[in-house]
Amino acid sequence: MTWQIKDEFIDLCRARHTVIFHNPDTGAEHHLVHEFKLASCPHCGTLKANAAGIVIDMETKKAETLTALHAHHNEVMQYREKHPRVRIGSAPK
Amino acid sequence: MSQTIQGNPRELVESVARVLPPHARDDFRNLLNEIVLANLTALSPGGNLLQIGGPKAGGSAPPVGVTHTVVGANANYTVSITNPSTPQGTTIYHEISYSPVISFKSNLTTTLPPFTETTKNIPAPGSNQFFRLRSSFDRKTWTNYQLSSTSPIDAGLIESGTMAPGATFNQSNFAVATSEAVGSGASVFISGTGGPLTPYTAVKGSMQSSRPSATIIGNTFGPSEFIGWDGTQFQLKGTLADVLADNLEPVGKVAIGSGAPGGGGTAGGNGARLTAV
Repeated sequence: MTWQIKDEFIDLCRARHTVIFHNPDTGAEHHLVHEFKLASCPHCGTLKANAAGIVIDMETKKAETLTALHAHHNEVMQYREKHPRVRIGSAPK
Repeated sequence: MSQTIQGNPRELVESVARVLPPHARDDFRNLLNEIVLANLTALSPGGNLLQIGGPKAGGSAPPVGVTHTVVGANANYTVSITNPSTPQGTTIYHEISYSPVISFKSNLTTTLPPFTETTKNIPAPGSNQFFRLRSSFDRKTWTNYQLSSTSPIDAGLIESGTMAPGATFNQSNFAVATSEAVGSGASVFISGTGGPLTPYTAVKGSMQSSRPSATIIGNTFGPSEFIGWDGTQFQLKGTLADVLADNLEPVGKVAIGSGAPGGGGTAGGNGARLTAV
């Protein structure tokens, strides 16, 4: 398992649930953020646009994201295996 | 009363300090060295620690009464020195050194050549340093070091208010920001030009940095959202003005639910060029 969860926290002040995925092989990071702000104004009750409806299941989203990240990594590594002598880098020497 | 000091006390302090965890070494050294110095002074005849060659006097004595302050702001340190009143024509030399560690025992310590001015500006964007000053009449006999502050001094970054109007836009990025309607909510995707889930490159001046990809989901997005990077996390803001705050790096804009990449730049590109924002 290349990608792993590096950190996960809920910011109550900003109403954000953040999961940080990290790939130690490549150093890449992916942030999954759920903004669970209030659906309506706490003063007047006015519903915000797009507020009504689906409930976001963060556990499912985390699993889906991890699967997608692994799939992407596997795709990259398969390409890499075809060119084993090529240097790994992000810029010319 | 006879006192015998076994070995060199400073060497003993150093040998114990080296077995301590790195973060505790400097505090330990400082504490023990102060205690050793206080003890040696107390044990000296009349409480005066004898110095090699005898006490300094006359022209070889260091100046007394020099004070200084160091202020960090706007990516710059300003050192202000107040000289004591001295006979006309007497020059006082000052030597400033700064270091990220309070012991100044680091190869990252910088010592400026002696100078006679009473103000010194040191540009150091984003730097956090301890400062110390010593002074001399003859550049041979120096005062003890005066530490400017017991906590590191932050130089900060250049604030946009002090820059030319266009300078704050001398940055760009290769982020692709898109959105997708999910039921009544939406998802915002931020990635590089390599495709979804790839990091993007941010360019500031001649420096390129890699930024993480992200997926932001929620039910309460506005019709368009502006994305900023605060150094550790992405922030969604409702207006362009909000992402031009000094603590944010503009990333781009998305029109929620449109599926179309927002912002300007290259096809599908985005970001701080902000031509189409």
